Amino acid sequence: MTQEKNLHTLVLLILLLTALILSSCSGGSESPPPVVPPAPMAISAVAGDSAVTLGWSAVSSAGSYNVYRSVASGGLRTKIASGLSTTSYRDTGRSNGTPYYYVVTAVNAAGESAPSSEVSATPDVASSPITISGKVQYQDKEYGVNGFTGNQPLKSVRYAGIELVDASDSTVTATAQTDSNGLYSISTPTTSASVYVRVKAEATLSGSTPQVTVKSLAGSLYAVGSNDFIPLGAANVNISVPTALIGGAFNILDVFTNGFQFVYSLANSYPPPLSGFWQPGNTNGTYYCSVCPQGEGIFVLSDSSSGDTDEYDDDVLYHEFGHFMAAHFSQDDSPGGAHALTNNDLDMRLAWSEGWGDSMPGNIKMWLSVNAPQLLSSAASVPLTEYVDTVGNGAGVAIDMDNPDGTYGSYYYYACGEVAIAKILLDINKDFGMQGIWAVFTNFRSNHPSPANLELFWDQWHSLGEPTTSLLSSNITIDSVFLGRLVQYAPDNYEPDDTSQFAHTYTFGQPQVHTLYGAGDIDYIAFNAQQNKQYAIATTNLLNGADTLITLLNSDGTTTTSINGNPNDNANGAVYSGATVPSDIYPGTLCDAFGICHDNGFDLLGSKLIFTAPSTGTYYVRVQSSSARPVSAGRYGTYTLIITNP
Amino acid sequence: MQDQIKPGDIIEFNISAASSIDVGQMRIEVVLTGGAKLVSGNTSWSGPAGKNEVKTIVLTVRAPSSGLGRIKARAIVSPSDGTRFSAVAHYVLGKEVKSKPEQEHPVKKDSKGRDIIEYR
Repeated sequence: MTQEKNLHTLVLLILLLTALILSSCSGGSESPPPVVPPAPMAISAVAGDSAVTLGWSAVSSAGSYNVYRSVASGGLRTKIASGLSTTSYRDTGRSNGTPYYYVVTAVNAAGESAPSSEVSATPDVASSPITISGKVQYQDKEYGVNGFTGNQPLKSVRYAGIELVDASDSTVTATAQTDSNGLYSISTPTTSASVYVRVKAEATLSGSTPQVTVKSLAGSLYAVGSNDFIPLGAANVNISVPTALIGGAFNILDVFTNGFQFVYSLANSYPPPLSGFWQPGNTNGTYYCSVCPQGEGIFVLSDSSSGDTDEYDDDVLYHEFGHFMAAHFSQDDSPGGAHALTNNDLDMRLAWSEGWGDSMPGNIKMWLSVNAPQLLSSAASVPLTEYVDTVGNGAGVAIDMDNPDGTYGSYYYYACGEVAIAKILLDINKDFGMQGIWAVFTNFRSNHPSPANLELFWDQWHSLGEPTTSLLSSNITIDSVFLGRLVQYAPDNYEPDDTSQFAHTYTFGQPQVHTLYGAGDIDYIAFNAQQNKQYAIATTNLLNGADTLITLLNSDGTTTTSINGNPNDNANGAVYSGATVPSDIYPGTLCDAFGICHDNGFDLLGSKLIFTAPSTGTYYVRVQSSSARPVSAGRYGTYTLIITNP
Repeated sequence: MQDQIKPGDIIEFNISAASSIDVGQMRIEVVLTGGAKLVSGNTSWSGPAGKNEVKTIVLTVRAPSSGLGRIKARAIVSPSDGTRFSAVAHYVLGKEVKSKPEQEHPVKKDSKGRDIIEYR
């Protein structure tokens, strides 16, 4: 009897940092120089009779704390206590009815921290119930084209769940929610029990069910608690979540909340609830998943070992949010798989899906810049359409989707390129408005006779009666926007050439570039052949998703029967109908981990006939879109016809 | 993500060590405990190692039928000045033990009965 065994391969790596140790032994510094501690994350001020009791969260690198007081918010502060080794202080001898303002700093050998968030309390005799109020913020990371700038401004934690928790048994005694400025207020009876305020990484924009939540990979919701305090009087409790804690979770919450509000501005309703799944050390990448073991959500990379973390990469998060939008408001037919910004022969469905996602950071940030510029995380000098994906503190990817050629070169064209599609969508937004895009995008959901791709968008833009000329300038048309990315959805200069009667005669050595556009477009090209001479007739350089079928016709319009394989769909003899197109020879082709190459092939779908003329005369080449095209291709597109007489 | 290791599974370990300085002698030792059994390979190696040169030994281990098997690997170097340094890595049946485990935060329930990870 044999027993089948599962074979696992594991790696243990041991690194001996002897050089560093030897350096230490020879008199080098034994520990890194101390750095100035951060400010306390949370601080509370509880009013009492002629007194205020302060409390704050401990700072691990602090040796002591200083307390400052002022009589006006942000006013001149007086140090009222220093060298405190505890995390609380009672300020007595105050005047009832007078508001006092406090900050606390942490101190160590390297110096004194920045001040904590300011809290205030107005001493008074005890009464019940009391109000516990405060502000919740998180530390953001500003970014630019070169990565994070180092600025880490505090932003409001908006619409988040607040709970008042009994510190002794973790029971929740009251709940509230922050407003658009991160402010909250709880009314509760006074108690001598120690409590704390907890903010949860969830945002409730409407109703009672949170629309956005941020959870661990195991599905636990993130939360941050303040310091403990005893609410014997009105209390002011502020929480500022630093980057070093789980500020990233609250940035994910903030970005998705922006996305929800953007959708609301278009749809007048919110999407269904969305969860962000994130935790430090998650190496599984950033992606939207509609059906995962944890449920639907956007999973966020946080691989500190490689330096690639995405919790502060707003553009990456907005991109994935775009996929979430497509899943709930549109039709996403993308097969998924590998893709690169520089690919411009992608499967048209994949290109549309990713192009939509690539446009979303710019579209949402343009909307924010008008409606809530304080919510932007990019530096003021950075174009709103700049897409930045950081690695470490630098930029792994930085490309202006509105000016892609200026960033890296001339890859970003055609309906099979995701950046080209992003650029088109951004241009339409700027020149025609986002509502038209939204109308077509949502129309896909109920009306998609062909796969969702740029062709379908074009067709439905027109069928829905969206404007073809910009209100901003008569020089800007929907055609010019598409042509800007070399997407020609229009008759070419040889039209009308739908019958042999109107065929243009081919001149040897002068390839003809045609477009297939419109339902059933057929191109006829005439050429003069000499008896017993051999000719090669081929379509090549197929762009914008074209897939050709060519037929050689006699001068009387009948199909030439003197050659094999007439008509010809694919020069290589392959049949791709309904199948995924394999990789072709185009440089930069990508195949995914499953070996599937979502490449729409410049020449792979080209057609070719070798023909020896039985008699001298005029023959016709008929070119049309192949009815046996793969779903990766389109009905339209551009091709070059070449006839050679070797 | 690592596959779940089940009792009796065969595990191939690639244990690598590197020194950040040239050393005349580096030794790698592997100790199996908790019922983990050596199937094949050597549990030790020694020899010279250049700066950042990676030395690897491969051994195959059978996970115990019950309980936790432990793989402990240690690398030792003795530079020419007579000092001695070592570093250790552990593996516990499907879970690598980090030398600096992340700070654990309590999982509690919120007012709606949902699990929350609370940071303070």
